[in-house]
Amino acid sequence: MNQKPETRNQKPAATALICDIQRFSIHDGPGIRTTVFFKGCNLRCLWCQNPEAMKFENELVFSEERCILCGECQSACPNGAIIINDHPHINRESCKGQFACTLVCPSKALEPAAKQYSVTELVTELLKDVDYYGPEGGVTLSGGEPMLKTGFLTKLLPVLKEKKIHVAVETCGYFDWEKAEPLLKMVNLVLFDIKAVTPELHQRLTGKDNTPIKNNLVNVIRAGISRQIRMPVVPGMNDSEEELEAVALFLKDAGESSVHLLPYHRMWESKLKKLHDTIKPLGIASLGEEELIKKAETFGRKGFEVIFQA
Amino acid sequence: MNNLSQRIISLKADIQNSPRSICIERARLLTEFYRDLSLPDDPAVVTRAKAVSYILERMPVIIYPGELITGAISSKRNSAMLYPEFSSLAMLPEIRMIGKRKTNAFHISGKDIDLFEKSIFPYWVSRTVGACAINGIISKSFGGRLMLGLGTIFTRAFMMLPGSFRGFFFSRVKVEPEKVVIGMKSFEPFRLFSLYGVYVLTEFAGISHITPDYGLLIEKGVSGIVKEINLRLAGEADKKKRDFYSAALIALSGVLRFAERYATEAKRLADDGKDAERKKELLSVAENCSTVPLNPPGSFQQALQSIWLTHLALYQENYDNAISFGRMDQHLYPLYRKGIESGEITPESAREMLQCFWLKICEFLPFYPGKFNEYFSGLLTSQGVCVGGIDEEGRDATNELSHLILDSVSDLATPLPNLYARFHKATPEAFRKNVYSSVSSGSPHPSLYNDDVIVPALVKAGCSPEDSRDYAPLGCVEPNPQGKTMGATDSALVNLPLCLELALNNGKSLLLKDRIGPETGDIDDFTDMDDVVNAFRLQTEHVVKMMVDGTNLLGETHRDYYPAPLLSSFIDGPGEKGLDVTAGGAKYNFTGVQGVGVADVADSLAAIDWLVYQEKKISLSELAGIVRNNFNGREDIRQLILNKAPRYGRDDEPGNRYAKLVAGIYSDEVTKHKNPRGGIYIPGFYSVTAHIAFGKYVSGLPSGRLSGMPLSNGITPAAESSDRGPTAFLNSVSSVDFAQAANGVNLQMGLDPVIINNKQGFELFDLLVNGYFKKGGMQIQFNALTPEMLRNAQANPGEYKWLTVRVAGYCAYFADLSKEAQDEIIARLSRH
Repeated sequence: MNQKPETRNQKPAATALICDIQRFSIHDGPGIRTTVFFKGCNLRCLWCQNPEAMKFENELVFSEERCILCGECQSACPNGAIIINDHPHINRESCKGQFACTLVCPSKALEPAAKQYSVTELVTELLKDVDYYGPEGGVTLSGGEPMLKTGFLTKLLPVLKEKKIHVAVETCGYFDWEKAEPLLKMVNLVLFDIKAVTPELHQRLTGKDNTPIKNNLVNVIRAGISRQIRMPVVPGMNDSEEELEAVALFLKDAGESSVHLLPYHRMWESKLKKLHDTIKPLGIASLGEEELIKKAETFGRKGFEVIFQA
Repeated sequence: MNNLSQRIISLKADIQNSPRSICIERARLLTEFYRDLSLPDDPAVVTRAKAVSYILERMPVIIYPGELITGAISSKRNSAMLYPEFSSLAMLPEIRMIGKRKTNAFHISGKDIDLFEKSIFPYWVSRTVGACAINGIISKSFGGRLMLGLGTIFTRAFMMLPGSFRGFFFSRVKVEPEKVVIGMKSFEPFRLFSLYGVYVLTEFAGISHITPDYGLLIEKGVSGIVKEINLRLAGEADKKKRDFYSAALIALSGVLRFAERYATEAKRLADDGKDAERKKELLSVAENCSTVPLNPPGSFQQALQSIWLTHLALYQENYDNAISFGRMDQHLYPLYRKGIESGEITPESAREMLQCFWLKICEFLPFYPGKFNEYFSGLLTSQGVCVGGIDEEGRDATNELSHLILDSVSDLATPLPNLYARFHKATPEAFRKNVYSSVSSGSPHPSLYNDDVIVPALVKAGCSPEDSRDYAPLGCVEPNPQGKTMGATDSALVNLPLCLELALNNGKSLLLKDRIGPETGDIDDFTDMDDVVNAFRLQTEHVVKMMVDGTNLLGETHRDYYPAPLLSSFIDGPGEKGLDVTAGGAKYNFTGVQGVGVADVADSLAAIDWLVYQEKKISLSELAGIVRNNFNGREDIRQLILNKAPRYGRDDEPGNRYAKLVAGIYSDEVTKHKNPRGGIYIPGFYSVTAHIAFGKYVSGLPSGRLSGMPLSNGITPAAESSDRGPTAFLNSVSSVDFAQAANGVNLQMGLDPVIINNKQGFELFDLLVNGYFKKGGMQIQFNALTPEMLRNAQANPGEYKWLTVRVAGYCAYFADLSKEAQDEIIARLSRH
């Protein structure tokens, strides 16, 4: 079971698929930041907030509410996968992902989930807000899983470093340490997510074994890399008293004394109907502040500094 | 109502709850003087001075209960004065209905209506600034006054009809000024004034828009100013200059008698009064009014009283708009310090005095006749106060009083004074924090100004570095070296998207159904963007030229018929030159004219470039056809433009480049021209609510904006292009070159609840503002209310009567705004 996680783009890569470059991000690290959402992740968390960034391949996003029924896409599709009458209908089985429809759609109802960016193109975008970053803000690499794009990051990070831009990485921890280590040492802050420590539970919630994640977390701590450990608290999934205690114990053993609890939000569910996927909505309500405070106490009792913010 | 004393709470309630009315007093006295008492041999400047003095000696003297700073501008609280020599006659058609207007209703008594119709209107109809200006054109064209004579006879005859019949006539016939003037459009001499919807000339209504030298008033008192003028008069041989000096002395003597009358009244009330506490206050008011404005004030309260009485007197001469107070934290600081050190005042008592003063500013309203309400919605008098910034040497000048003024205005929660905060590289963090806590609390005050951009812009416009550093914004957003500038900052507004419409239709306007501009070519013959841009430039050149001709004519008319000797006494320059401010007496002379709709033109050009010349999806002729047809049946093209074409506000290179280009074209055209005062025209990019009114005259635009819809506000990007977040939005705006926009700009931004509710709220705000200013942003202002709250206020106006919002460069009670202006504020808040 303890195999190395696969890594895409191992060689220095010219381009990467990026779902979104979100400017004025204020929840992904300190200050004002620009967050880059890379496409592709090895985990399949049941509550993934960015389901459009899960697959490594590009895919078609269809926002029906934007459709003006102009019919341009129907004529453009080489595979006859789109039929427009009273309602737009996309036959996802016939779609071959050529994105001809997205080029003609006037209203952005049809869009590719991601676009290819070269390092230069991405840096241009990231520099646009450099005057707003201030001493604390900067760039956050997120996804999907950014630490799988080691080839691209090998070229990107030195440029950002040279421009003296604060770089944070949001990671699920499932990556190959040997390849990631030199890159992580170039970033200013790692936001390291831990979903569960009990292996069976982790497997069930994310589809992967958590041994590499635990190892990588310990590695990050030992390497003295500046980090913030975060845990999404998903009601009924990973928030049992026992699991929270187990996480606290594990973190304490690893030498960590601070944790950022992320309350579960269900906004991601509205994205599902735009994608072609088998993911199902969870139907769980968002977590209230009081409940979150209760969860925080479990960590508090173990001497943790607990941060939580919506 | 936190931090308000009982006195302030009740003064505020007294003012807000007074019924709105028209005060006829000034108009009555003015008419009496000009009609019956003026001497035919007196030069206009002397007649003007005598008239002002006549009014000041006779206008009612009213001291309201509880007030510490006194002086009433009109006979009733919450009333509007009339300026029949300027634009007030325009209310004739609706005078019997203004009590029933849906928004901005004013009460006027039957007796006053009678006086207006029978006495005031007939006398002034051939003597208003507009009539005199048109008379000037006719004289030039036909060498006679025949037309005007006929007009007067017609008016007289009409006025002889019984009042009720006239009321009936006006209630049945919907009089729309623009139709009347458009009816005259084929008659060339009237054309300058008839291009309603193409541009608006405001000097019909007066000039005002100035910051008098209240610093000088505090330093020398009126006695010091009089002494100086007497010296000059004694050594002057030139008749015209002697007339000017004599006029100034007459007007100033009126101010002094006005103050004496207040001293007497305060004494009388004190003698009659029973409440010992109030008696003491009234005696001190009496003492103040007999000391100032004659002498330099000896205390903080006297300084405020001196400024207020002078300010009121200025409004008897100059119409009630945007005479501003300048850098009050600098003017008042020495006396504030002195008072604190001697124990005479405390910060709390000073705050109460300031609030008494602010409430006096709220006590009167402007009256806008029907159509003007569209362009200037919200009953604005735009009288401003400036705090913070650098001093003449470039050092930070922020002081305790800057904070106290900021707090006192924010706590009061009224639209006035319009508070401006100057920022520069070294503005102390405590002050920035205080500004943030004011705007994030939901107060529309203050708006923020960037010294590092404005000072160089003023230097470029010809002001000395020292004077430029001592600028104060006035009116909505206009930065002028205070006390030294006749800026005529709000002289006209120009409809830029209409110029683009003319460019795409060979000089014709679709909605005005008329040829407005020159033939700049059939678009079928256009081969690239240069052709499009060039046609826009030529149309703008033409419209600007007409606007300038009209404005210059009005400026000359003010100079020749209604000069301002009193105002001239409080500006640096007229004394030395022996020239009235309307004749070029001031040290600096500008005419500020606003370009409206920069974003609409920029987005349209960017869309044409992308769709026609880059992507080559359709030809220019096809696109123009679709646009003329208001995108009917071609929603696909409209969506394509809205979603995929570059736009100003999304921080893409073409959108930013075209905004800079459009602002540059307008600026270049404007700055070519000279005004009759020897100064240059300077451009501004703020729109009051003219972007809504102008929008009604502009058909569909290539930007995707539909026919008749509002244009963009000031320099603010269109609402639909503000969807890339605040940094992209601010980057786009700061890409415009503001070095030429010396008359000021307004950027309207909703302050996102995401920022306010964030624990780093101040830090985020600070980073945004600093980043924007560092990149060359000139001005920014915020509304921190939620769209839900405003929708609620729209539905239940009774419950939100006193909700204050920022409209453009000014603030207003939300309930006083037109529906369109309300909708726009809500739409903007929904975006970020």
